[in-house]
Amino acid sequence: MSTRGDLALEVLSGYCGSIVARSILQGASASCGVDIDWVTAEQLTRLVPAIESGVRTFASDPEAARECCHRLREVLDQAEDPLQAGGSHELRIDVVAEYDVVTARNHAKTLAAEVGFGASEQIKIATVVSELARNIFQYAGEGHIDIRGLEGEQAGVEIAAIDHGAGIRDIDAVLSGGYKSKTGMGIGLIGARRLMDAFEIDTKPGVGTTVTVRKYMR
Amino acid sequence: MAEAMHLPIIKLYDTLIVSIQVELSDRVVMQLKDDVGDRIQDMGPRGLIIDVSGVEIMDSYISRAIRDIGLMAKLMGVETVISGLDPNIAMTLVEMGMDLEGVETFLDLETAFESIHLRADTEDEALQNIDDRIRWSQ
Repeated sequence: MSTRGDLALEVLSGYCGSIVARSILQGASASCGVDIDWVTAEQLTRLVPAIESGVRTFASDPEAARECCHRLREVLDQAEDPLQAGGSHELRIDVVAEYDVVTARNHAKTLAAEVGFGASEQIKIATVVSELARNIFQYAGEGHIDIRGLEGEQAGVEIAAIDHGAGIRDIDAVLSGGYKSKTGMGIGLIGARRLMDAFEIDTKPGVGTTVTVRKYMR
Repeated sequence: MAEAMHLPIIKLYDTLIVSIQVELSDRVVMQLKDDVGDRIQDMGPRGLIIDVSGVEIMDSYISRAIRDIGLMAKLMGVETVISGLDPNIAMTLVEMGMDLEGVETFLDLETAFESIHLRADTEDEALQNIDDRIRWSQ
C-alpha cells in the first residue's frame, strides 16, 4: 500500500517536479511537526493548508496550483488511514543483550514522536522504556518490550515490559522506596511510575514480571 | 566479552574534559569510569568536566553512573563538574526523584571551564599570599 507521503509526492511531482515536491512536503511536515505518513485526521487539517501554501509558492500558475491542491485533497482523503488500519504504531523489542536497552529506548522515542508526543514527553517515555528494559536484562536476563500507540479519547502510548524471570518478591517494599537494591531497581521502577500516567505491575515469584505503563497525550 | 568502546578524554591545560557525544550503553559508562580514574592518576589534573550536552536520554542508571564518576574524581582531589544537561533530561530526572547530588552542574562547557579556572586562580592567589607571609615572617 502506498503511504500518504508517497501519494502526495506523486501528485505534487506532476505539477512542480519531484525535487520541489519533496521539499514542499518536508517543509510542511516540519512546520506542523508531523510525519505525513502517520498523521491523525486532526493533524491532516493543519498539514494540508501548509502543503497548499507551498504549492502556491512554487507552481507555475494559479490555475495549476488550484488544480494541484484539489487533487491533493482527493488523494489524501481516499488514502487509507494508517492509524485506523492498525498495526503500524506497534512494535516489539526483544531484550536479550545489554545494547538492546539502547535500541529499546531509541525506538520508543521514535514511536512516541510518531504518535504525536512533544519533545519533553518523548524523553520521558524513552527514559521509562530504558528503565524497564534494563530491569529485564539485569534481573530476568531476557524478555521483551511491547510499545503501542493508543487511539480514541485517551490517545497516548502503552508500554508493556514482559519477562519470565524470577519475579519480584516484595514488590510493595520496592515501590514504596523502602527497599534499596545494590543495583537500584527500586529507583528505576519508582521513577517510571512517576513519569507515567498509569502504572501496573504483575509479578509472581518463579513465573515472571509484567510491567504495564501508559502515558496519555494532553 | 569484547572490550567496551572508550570515550575520548581530552586534556586542556590542567583540566580533563569528557564530552559524551554517543549513545551511552551501560558498558560504555563503566569503561569510562575506569578510564577517568586512570587518567586522573596519570596526570593529576586540577579539574574534570563531564559534558553531557550530546546525551539525549539519561535514565536512573546512567545519571547515577555519571554522578559516581564525579564523586570518585572528587575523592581523588579533582574538582569535578557536569555541564550541558538538556532541559528535557533535567526535567525528567527531577520528576523521577533523581538528582546529581554532590556534583556541581553548569549550563555549558564554557561556564564550567571558567568556573574551574576562576577557582584555580583564587587558590593560586591564596597560595601566593601564604608564600609571601612565610617570607615576611622569616
